[in-house]
Amino acid sequence: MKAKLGVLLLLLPALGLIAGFLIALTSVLVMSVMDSSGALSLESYRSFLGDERNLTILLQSIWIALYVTVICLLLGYPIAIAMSRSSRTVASLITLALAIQFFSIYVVKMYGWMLILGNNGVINRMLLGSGIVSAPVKLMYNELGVAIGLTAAALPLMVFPINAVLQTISLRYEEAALGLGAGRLRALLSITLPLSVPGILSGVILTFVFCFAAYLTPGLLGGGFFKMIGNVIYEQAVARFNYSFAAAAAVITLLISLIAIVGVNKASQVLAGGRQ
Amino acid sequence: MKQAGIEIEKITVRYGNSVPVRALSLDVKPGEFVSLLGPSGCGKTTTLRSIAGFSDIAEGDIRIGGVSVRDVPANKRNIGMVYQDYALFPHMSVEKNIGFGLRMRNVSADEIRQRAFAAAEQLRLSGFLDRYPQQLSGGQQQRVALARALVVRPDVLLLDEPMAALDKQLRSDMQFELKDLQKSVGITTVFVTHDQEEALSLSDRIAVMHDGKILQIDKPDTLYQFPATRFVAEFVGTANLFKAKVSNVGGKSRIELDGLNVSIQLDRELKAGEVEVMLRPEQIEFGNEASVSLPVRVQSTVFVGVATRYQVTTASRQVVRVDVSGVQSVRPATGEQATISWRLSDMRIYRDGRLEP
Amino acid sequence: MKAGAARDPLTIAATAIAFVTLFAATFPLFVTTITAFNATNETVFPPNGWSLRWFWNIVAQPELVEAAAFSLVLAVISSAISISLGVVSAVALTRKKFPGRDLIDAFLMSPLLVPQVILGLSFLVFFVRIGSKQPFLNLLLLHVVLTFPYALRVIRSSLIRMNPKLEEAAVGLGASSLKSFFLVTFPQMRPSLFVAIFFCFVVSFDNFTASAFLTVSGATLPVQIYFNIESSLDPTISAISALLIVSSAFFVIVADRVVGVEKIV
Repeated sequence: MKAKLGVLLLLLPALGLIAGFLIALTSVLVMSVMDSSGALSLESYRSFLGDERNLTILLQSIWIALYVTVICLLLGYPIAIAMSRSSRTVASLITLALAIQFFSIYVVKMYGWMLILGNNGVINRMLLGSGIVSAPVKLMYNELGVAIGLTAAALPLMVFPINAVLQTISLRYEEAALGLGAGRLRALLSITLPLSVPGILSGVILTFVFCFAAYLTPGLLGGGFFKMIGNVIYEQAVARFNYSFAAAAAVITLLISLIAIVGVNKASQVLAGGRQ
Repeated sequence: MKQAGIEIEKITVRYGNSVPVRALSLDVKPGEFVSLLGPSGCGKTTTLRSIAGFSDIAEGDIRIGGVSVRDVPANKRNIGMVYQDYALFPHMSVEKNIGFGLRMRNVSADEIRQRAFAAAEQLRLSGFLDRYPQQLSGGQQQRVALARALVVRPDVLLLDEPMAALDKQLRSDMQFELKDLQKSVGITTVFVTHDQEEALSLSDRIAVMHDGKILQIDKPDTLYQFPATRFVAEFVGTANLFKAKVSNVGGKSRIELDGLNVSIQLDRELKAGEVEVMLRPEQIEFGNEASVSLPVRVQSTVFVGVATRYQVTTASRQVVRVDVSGVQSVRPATGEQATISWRLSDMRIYRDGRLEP
Repeated sequence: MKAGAARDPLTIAATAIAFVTLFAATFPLFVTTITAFNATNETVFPPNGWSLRWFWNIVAQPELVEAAAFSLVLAVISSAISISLGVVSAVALTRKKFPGRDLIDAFLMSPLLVPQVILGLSFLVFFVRIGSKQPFLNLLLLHVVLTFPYALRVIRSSLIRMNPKLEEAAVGLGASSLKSFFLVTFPQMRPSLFVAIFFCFVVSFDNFTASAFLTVSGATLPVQIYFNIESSLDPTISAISALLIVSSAFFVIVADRVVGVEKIV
């Protein structure tokens, strides 16, 4: 009994901290159902959902997050395979490169992409210099730029969890499959891929939620021409002090994120159903 | 070294709903080496840990050197403990590991050094004092663990399956070394193991445990020759068991083995009823010289060095194990008919799982 | 460990994809660094000539220097708090079994589930409602919430991997439980503390999205850089970015040498 009390005392500061965070989170919920006079009202939700521009932004946020997640998975899975299977030197080189990219300051990374994708950027200067095009190609301040930036920013979020799971899967399984007559690709697809599903799912969740609620990338690489839901929340809250509206948009964003998380987890249970 | 006995009086240990130790009593005399032997989950490690002070006892009492340690925390009990995985501190050198207990007892740095050196010498570790545990072999790690436990001159030494991680050859070397060390230091020792051979070869007495209780505590030879229960007979050594019936005619008892045309006249009187007859494989021989004999068919043989192990089947299709040592000459081949026999005095009779006196 | 595996054509293909993708992903960092050395005020790659003037120009922009100092102090203090809390909580969560332990664990990790914009907005609304006008303290609280789950996760997993018998052995040898913690457990936590410090510092120093909501006055460095990018694109931004890229790469390499890069990813 004494020991349990001690444990509780040790946990108290952290519990207080996170409770504070949950109170802050709840204050958003409360704020979203209040009008400017402080009375209970669904006005903010009505005005958010009643405006076609907001709905378009919401839908295109979901859409871009979806396809960036797919791209990250297609690029990230081979990277994770390379990290877990190539020789020690190559694997640590890849890991190191990915870590350096991941731990670089996010805003700096996006700035780097602006230097590449801009009208005066690396690509356009090459295209113009070689005479392939006569006027700069628009590579940013549009959906394309945002998609590229999000892919670059989210890629490690996909690779790390998959890699973590792959590291724990013994290569012996695949060797056993090869020994039983499976081809390399067949062995990968029928043995390693299903076993790495937990890593894929957490990578998918992290990537999707990160992209869907992005603010910095569409802010810089969308440049006001391509907006995402994060930009709407920020503008309403910080530039217009319209906290209630921002809160309603945030609650909707959180809801969609949670639905995505729960949906993916449910999907994984269905997938794993045969094994339980 | 001072010698302290351990008296365990009806201790019960509870973890939530499970009761790993139930009203267990055990006296270990000063300087004695006692093994707790049993299958996993029998409560032997929990018993050891409650002596050390790591498992709280719900009922009962433990006295070390006559003094109750019920309310003495583990770090004040002056025990030496060696774990299965040794639990050497990976960030400390061998010298620091050995000296840790002395440091906790506020012994001066000079004396710690001297005593650690002496302990290392005793356990042939002198060249390794600056190494780290990861740099040592399994046997060396075990000796460090022993040195660390003994250097504080504990009242009792507690060993929790310390040999389990060693390979077979090293294990038998270490058994001799441990026995010599224990005798020369003269320390009261409780040794937990599930390995019956280890228990038989090391212990002054063995306590066989099952389900949180001690079924029998005896010297190794007594335990082996007169297992008090059927469980002990089967757990320690190999047991051939025959179902049988006792009947009484004219003040003498006879035993008939079920399904076999064998009737054995006993030299004492037993209550009539169903019993089991137990025989050790090495007490059975081929041929019909001994008092009881039985026709069998040889099913298979395995040569294990010191003996040849036979599996034979009786007319009732019961499998019987027979060990034939090098000196015995009769060696039937697989598939042959043979006769097995044994002496009346080697037979143990169990009724409801308990040895008939 | 993986001898012979590299000859497998699938691994070779995967490695090729990895190299191409990672080249593309790190190329902007390289371009940024090089553009910092432009001679003119055009931020172009390859540069129009070479100079170090934009590095000196950082010092001429007090808001950048102030923001850098602000972020540094914020990262140091919030990391220190998070790691202290992380050690204490991780010990409590791993040492004793008690009902609801997993629930408490999930509760403490919950900030990781919430998107950054929503975290930022939550704290903004919260501070507006309680009328807190302490920009530094507000940001500090936010950053402790942001970094604490990382500290907890790293330290907790190192404690789980640790042999619980070690501390018990120390107690058996006469150590009090406090002594056995500081002499046996704590020294073995050092690599994980290093990783935790690294994570907390980076998460705090790098944070833009949530912090942007609370930085009306007293901007953090990422927020200040963002504002500068929006207002002008002169190579000073490349210069400060170059310094940040080189220093974060340096710390990743140091981390790789100290604990191995696989521990921080």
